[in-house]
Order: sequence, then structure tokens, then C-alpha cells
Amino acid sequence: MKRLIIGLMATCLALPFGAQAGGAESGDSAAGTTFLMPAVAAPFAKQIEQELATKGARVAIVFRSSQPHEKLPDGVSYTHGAFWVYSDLKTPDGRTLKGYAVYNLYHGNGETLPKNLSYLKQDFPYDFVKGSAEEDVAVLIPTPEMQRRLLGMIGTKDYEALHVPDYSLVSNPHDPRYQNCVEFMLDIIAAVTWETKDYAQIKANLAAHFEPTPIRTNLVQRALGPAVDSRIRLDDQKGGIETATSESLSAFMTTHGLLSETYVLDYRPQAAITP
Amino acid sequence: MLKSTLTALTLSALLTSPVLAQGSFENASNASGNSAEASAELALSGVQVALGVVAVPIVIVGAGLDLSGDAASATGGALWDAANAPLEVSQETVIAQPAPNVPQTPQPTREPARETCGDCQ
Repeated sequence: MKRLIIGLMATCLALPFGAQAGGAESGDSAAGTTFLMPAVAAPFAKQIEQELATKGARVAIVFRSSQPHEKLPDGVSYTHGAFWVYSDLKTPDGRTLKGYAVYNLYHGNGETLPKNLSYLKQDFPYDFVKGSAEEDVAVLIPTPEMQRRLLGMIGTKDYEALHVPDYSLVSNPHDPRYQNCVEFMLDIIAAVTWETKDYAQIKANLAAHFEPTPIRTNLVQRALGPAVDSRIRLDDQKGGIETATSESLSAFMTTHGLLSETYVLDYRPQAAITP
Repeated sequence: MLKSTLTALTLSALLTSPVLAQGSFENASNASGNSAEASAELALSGVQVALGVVAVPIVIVGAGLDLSGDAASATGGALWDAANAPLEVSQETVIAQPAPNVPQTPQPTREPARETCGDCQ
């Protein structure tokens, strides 16, 4: 038993403790996370909108990080992504604003919906950005033809039909059992790319053409993860853990000529003031 | 003793790992829990706020997809060529309304305010 503990300690020390490398910060990686203040989130959201609009993007994919970048695993820079769709925004007093609506997949909060289930929700750029812990986002602008196809799909019954409510933080994009926000977007992109709503066909196509991001874990984490957090479900994984990320989605769309542009957009305090 | 040490060690490994730690792949909603508070904060920051907005995607003729079959094809699209010019964005910051708060049980029907309903019989 003593040898087992020593071996386990060695395993723990070998974990990719990005945030804990300095030693003093050991502990809960979620604690202490600071999201953007409204006075930053609002102009940053408007800056993103204005830059997308300047580029004529009717549909874009935007990623934020709800954790400081240095606390994320290798190969993962952002934690949440959504479709941004240029829209008419109707106010209760009858005005029509021009801007973007944001189409998300969120997991439950554990109160009104279990955390291992998800739901689709349309909100707005400010809602998206104020959940960020960093003053940057990643932007993917699909080709005009992909934008046209996505615009015809997002928010429709076909779009909703491709939502898999069973949620896993690290769902395997090649397996149909679970979904997270990035996998949902990947499935939608696959649907319009191959022009099919057959989920089995979509998964078969992605198995052949999409390379997910490997996530480093060890046996202890894999064994106990589901017991610690209901959002961690690993029975869809074969071998190592693989999931869809902003990086792997961008690589897939770039490789197959589905993207016009991809870049990281940093907050510039004065950028959103001038229309 | 050994068992408890083992358990603590493994749980510590899980909870401190940036891979599986809570929030590493957070897809949670941060939508305004208190829209009035958010609206007030933004107003104090000099931000124009529009609350309670309905979004209507601007559909270009021909943008619709027909996914009714395995080999369905996109329709139309002739007007899309002109659709990627720079777009206009309004200055107001739109925020979502508060979460729905509808009671589960039927509520008594409200009596009309008779004093303000001069034409009611």
C-alpha cells in the first residue's frame, strides 16, 4: 500500500499543473476567477460587433475564456463559443437596432436544470462577453457561402433537432451520446457543410474528417472525474480524452476551406466609441 | 488512515487539475441575473442600454437551407453576393431581460382596472 501511495503522489505531481507551477497557487482553479466588469464588457462587446460588421460578417463564431488562459490545459485557449448572427433587434418601444444576436448552448446551473444537461439560448454580445475572464476573444469568420448556409440553419427546427441535451464538459465529438457548446457548433457546421441533418451521417463524416483536441489526463482523473463533477462523463471516450475546441474547430474549417478569416481580438478601450 | 490519505490525495489531484477542474470548459450562462442592476451599472458607465429586445436574424433571400434529405442542397443565393458589404451596428448595448419567473400554479385572473376603463360595460 505504501508503494501505491508513493506511486499516486508521483502521478499527482506529474499532472500538468499550469496554474500551480509556482507552488503558491495550489488549490481550486475556479476560485478567484474575475470576470470582466460591466464598464469593460459593454465596450468590448460593442467593439467585437463593430469589427464583425466592418468585415460584413453576417454570421461569425466567437470564443471567450471563462478562466485565465494560464489555467487552461495545453492546447485549449477558450472555454465557450457561440454563433453571432447579424440581426434586427426590436425594442419594446418599437425601434429597430442593428447588431448581433448570440446563439449559445449552455449547461444547466444545477438548480433549475441538472449540470449534465444543456439547453439552447439566444442572448446578446454583452451577455457573452461579461462571462469572460480575459480581455480577448477568438473570432472565426466563415466563408460567405458558409455564412449563407449557417444563416439559413441557425435558430430553425433543424438546428434545434441537432441539439443533444446530455452534456459532457469533454464530450467526444465522434460519439453521439453527449455534446458541449463547441461540439454543437461543430455538428451544425457539419450539417450545412455536407447538407444533411442525419446525425449518424454527420458523426460519420466528422470521424473521417475532424481531428479533435487531445486533453492530457491521468488514470486517477479519468477514474474519479465523473464522481467529482457530474458534467464530466467519460464513457464516450475511447483511450485518451479528446474533445472539440476552438483550435480544432478552426483547424477543421481552415483545412476544408470553410473559413474566410480567424484571429484573436484584443479589447481596445477606445475602439467601440467611434461608430 | 491510508484509505483517507488516498482519497484526499486523489480528490486533490482532480480538483486542482486544470484539465478537469470545475469551469475548465465552462459553457454556463452568465446572463443577467439582475437586469436592473446591470442596466444601472452600464448607465453609470455612460453606456446606452436597450433592455427587452427581440432578435430577428436578417435573412437574405436564398439563405434558407433545405435539409430534408440526405443530399439536400442549398436554395437560391443570388442576392447573397451583395450581402457582405460593411454593416451598421447601433450604439446601444442590448442586455437580456431577467430570467422568466412564472408561477407554476394558476394565478387569480386580475380584475380590470375599472376606473381606467371608461368604455367597459
